[in-house]
Amino acid sequence: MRNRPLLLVVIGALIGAIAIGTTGPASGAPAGPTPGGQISYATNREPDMLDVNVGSSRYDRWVTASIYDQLLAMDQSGKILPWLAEKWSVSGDGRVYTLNLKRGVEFHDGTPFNAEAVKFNFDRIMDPATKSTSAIGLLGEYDKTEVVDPQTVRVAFKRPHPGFLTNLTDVTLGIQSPTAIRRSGADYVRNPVGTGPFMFKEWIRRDRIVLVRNPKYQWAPPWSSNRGPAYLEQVTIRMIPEDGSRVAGFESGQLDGIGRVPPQNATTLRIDKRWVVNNVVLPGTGVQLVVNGNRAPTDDIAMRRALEHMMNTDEGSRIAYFSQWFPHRGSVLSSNNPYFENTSKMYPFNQQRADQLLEEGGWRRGPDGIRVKNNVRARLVYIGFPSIETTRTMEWMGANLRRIGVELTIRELDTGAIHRARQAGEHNLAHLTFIFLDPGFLRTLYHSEGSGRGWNFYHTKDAQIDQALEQGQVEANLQRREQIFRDFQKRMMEQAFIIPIVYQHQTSAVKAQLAGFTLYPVLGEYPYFQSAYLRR
Amino acid sequence: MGSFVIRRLLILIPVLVGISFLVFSAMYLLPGDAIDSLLAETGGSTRDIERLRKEFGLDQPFLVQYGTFLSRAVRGDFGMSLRQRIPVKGAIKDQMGATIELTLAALVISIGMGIGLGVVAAIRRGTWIDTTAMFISLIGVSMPIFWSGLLLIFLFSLRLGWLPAAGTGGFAALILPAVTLGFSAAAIIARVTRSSLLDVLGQDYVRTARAKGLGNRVVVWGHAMRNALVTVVTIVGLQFGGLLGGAVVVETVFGRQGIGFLAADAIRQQDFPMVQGTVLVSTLAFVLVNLAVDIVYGFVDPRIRYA
Amino acid sequence: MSAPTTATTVAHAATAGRTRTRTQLVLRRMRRHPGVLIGGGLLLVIIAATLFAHVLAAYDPLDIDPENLSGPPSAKHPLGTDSLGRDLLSRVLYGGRISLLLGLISVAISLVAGVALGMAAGYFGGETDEVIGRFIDVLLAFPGLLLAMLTIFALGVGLTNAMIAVGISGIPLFQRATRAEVLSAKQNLYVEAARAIGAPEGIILWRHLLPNIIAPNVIVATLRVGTAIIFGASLSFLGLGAQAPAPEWGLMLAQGRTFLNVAWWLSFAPGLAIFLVVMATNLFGDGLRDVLDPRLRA
Repeated sequence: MRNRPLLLVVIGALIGAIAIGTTGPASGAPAGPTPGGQISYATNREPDMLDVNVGSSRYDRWVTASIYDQLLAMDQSGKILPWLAEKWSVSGDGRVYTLNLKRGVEFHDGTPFNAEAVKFNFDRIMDPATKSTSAIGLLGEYDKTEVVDPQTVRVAFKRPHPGFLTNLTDVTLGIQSPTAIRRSGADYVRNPVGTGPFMFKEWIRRDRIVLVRNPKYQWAPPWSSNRGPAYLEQVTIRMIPEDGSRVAGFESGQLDGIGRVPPQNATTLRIDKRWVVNNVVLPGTGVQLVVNGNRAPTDDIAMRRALEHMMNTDEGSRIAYFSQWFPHRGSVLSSNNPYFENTSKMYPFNQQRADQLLEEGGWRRGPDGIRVKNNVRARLVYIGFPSIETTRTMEWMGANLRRIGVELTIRELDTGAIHRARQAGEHNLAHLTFIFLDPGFLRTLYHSEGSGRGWNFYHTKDAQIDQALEQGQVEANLQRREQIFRDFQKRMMEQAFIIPIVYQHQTSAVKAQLAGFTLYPVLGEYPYFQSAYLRR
Repeated sequence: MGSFVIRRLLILIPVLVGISFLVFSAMYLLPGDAIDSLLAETGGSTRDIERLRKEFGLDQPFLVQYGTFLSRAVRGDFGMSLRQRIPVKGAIKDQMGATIELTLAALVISIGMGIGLGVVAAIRRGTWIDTTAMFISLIGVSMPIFWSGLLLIFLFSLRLGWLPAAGTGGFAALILPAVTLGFSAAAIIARVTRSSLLDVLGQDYVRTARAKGLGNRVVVWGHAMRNALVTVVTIVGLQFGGLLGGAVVVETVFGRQGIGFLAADAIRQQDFPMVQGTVLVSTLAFVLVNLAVDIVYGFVDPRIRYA
Repeated sequence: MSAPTTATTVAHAATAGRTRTRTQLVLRRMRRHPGVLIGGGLLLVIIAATLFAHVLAAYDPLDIDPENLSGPPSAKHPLGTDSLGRDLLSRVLYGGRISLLLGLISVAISLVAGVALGMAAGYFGGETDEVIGRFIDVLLAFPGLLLAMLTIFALGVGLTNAMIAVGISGIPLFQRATRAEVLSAKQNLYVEAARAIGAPEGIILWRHLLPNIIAPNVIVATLRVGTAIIFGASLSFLGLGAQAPAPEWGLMLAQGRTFLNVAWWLSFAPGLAIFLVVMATNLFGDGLRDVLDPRLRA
């Protein structure tokens, strides 16, 4: 009873607050970005680690994209822009890059970002003890980094590396705090420190990663609409592998956004005004099947070309990707690559033509309807990692191929055994998708040197292809470089070494109240929260 | 009594060695080398294969590797996860709570439901109540838990919207998984309770108690049940194994955290340190529970001693 | 998840020297037992349906229909179509072949290995028994599905390996039943007589001990089939067993659950199929135990 006056004050204050709350929107003030609030955003898979020097799977990058900044940025048109590096120049022979770094940039631990930090990161990536599996590929034939002054580095390569600037825009080459790495040692993979708009707070295994706003952030990439610190106080990245649960959590309002929206759900989410669905094409390869030219029956080009004619990408997009991932019209590269070559005229969907090619090639139907040639049965083995969409694609394709007397066996595993089997060439068809920006990376995937131990899954030595990939990687004349890669894409289709299906997409959905949310430009797979804010 | 416990513990040693040997050698039978797993996923170069193999000790002879594995495992050290590059011990610690929570909740449900059904069926032997109870129990043993789990999700999460369909944390998220898991074990406990109670009810001293004019309730609860429980306790111990194994499936269906899901994932990804750690820890838990049951059993029923 | 019986409860089931009248008695009891009748009848119907799947199924289980994805149950498709337009009834029928085969083969593996180990342990006794016993203890120490999962880890994912894995995890049941039976039969006069006159051990085992262990093993096997089918389907559900596009029930459920909200029938049909088969074998197995071993009759 003694507290009654206080209670009245509290009640009064509450009424006041409610009054303000209700009159606020009525005053008609434009709802600009307001700082504050927190959101949860769910992905389908837990990152392995948050140390991009060491490993950088696509699931890692969902989180690291918010923690680390890159030296350079790329806008939607593919143009390279300054970021942590303000200026850059390339030596005449294309081997030495000089980068001038931005001043006043700080890591989350308060240590300065400078030339030493850049050198530390690059040297660490190349150090065998780091066991880098991803970043190392982007540095090419790295020689050394020299610190010219605290704001200038000179990065030298043993051979020209025309893709370097593009690679510097990749999340995988984000710059990490040397101090934190030295201090945390092996624990750094779970305690990342960068310069990005959000700072790592905690990681609860198989559940969530919590990021909090970096209040000092003043070095946003040029493509962001927000020049200062992020508006959101906190971003929680939840890991919900089960597609249905993730979507249900979002629909019920538990989650503010979700990534990897299953194609079958995107259609229904799109209709509803409460939600905004983003669907972007990812750079790199499309979703494609690599055809082994070194194993029967796909060692026969007639068989390979028949397969190309049986790939109806429109129907594949509709059946396996619910029309959310668009049919591929080209060869190796995605449509958003500047070097994209449209090859859709080469193998129109045509079952009769496929049948005819097989007949002409000597493939005769056996008693069970499956074709045989020289005692070789037209039985294809597909090998790939499991995912709902690729499994559906292969089940659909298998049913189609039976119509032309070809049998398809599906082998899916979430393990290195699959990788080894593909390296050993135990497949006829292998699933392969990669996200990358610069086509110089194509050498890793398609050069014959990668057969057996690397990523070349068509296992055929084609001099024309090898030469194009070698030249393309180091050709400093960009026009000539473009022609080389266009010819390469045509050659891959002529030889029918790959069967493109759809472009890789990233579909995300957020509540309509969450404004300013974008996906990383070009590398669109990753959510970008720095410019996002909650509408009041 | 003390010597009985010691004997029981001594017998455990060769079993534990055998378990660890099986778990370890499973890796040896692996088709190929797990190191590629790592490189396949992260998409890097292959130049590090030899060094990684060395780092994980895969270049050593079999017995040396087993020795190292055993001496580390005794200290709870299972090495680093190939995929996540974190200590397996930490990952298991993180996940263990959720599994313990799930199995204990399921155990409570299964015991409550199982003994309830079993007693009712035994008392009303031969009536429609008995038939119904035994039919429910038949459904329980025959339903695959991944199906009953999905049915519950469909009804209570998707249609009625009462309970969350997935996730860990909070009482609400525990209900459906615990019921799913508990129901299958309840069915078996119900059968055993019923038959052992019927067994006891037919014995002389129970008949004597009845002849003395004691009420049915006193006979069942006071005399018969206490004796029947001895059998039931053993079955509950065994069922704990079923619950731990079932947790793998339930955690997958409900997208829960947990050691079972961790194990299933690790097997799919051939993350052998993680497989070894999760399988060993689950098995050890089961072994210890059964040991505890055995010892309790020995105390409760002095006639039974380990021969 | 485990069989509703333990090996020890059935170990006493066999009686030596079955006569014609004994067989007749058992058959007559079987005809009268409701569990045997219902379970057996249901089982016969299911076996017939899967054997004649190629006649009964109106569609090819692998044939997709791009114009009828996730179609609800209808006159043309009584159980609906799956997310690729395949007829679910046809898939469930063909899937029965896989599940029943898995049940049979895995139980056969458990049976052969378990009986061999049980006979060796029971007959030779001593150290042999000790070593085998510890080995069985080790197998029994793994909770539920975990031993099968560990086997899959060692052998690799696939339907054949799933059969082996489920088979291995069932060995202890048969080993224990067999061992107990051999131990008691060994005491019989005729075995001792055979030994005394120096009959080869192989012959003693084969002629005199084997017949005794048939009945208990039949009961264990019948009761194990249901568990084996569930284990196999669980492995496939976890992505460790059959591979697409096989119409395996566990795999169909795993594929269907993504569409639970929009097309419940995808996960309903295969689940119901597993449930019915397992229930039928359990009913039949329980009944068989009652009939063969009247002492256990409640």
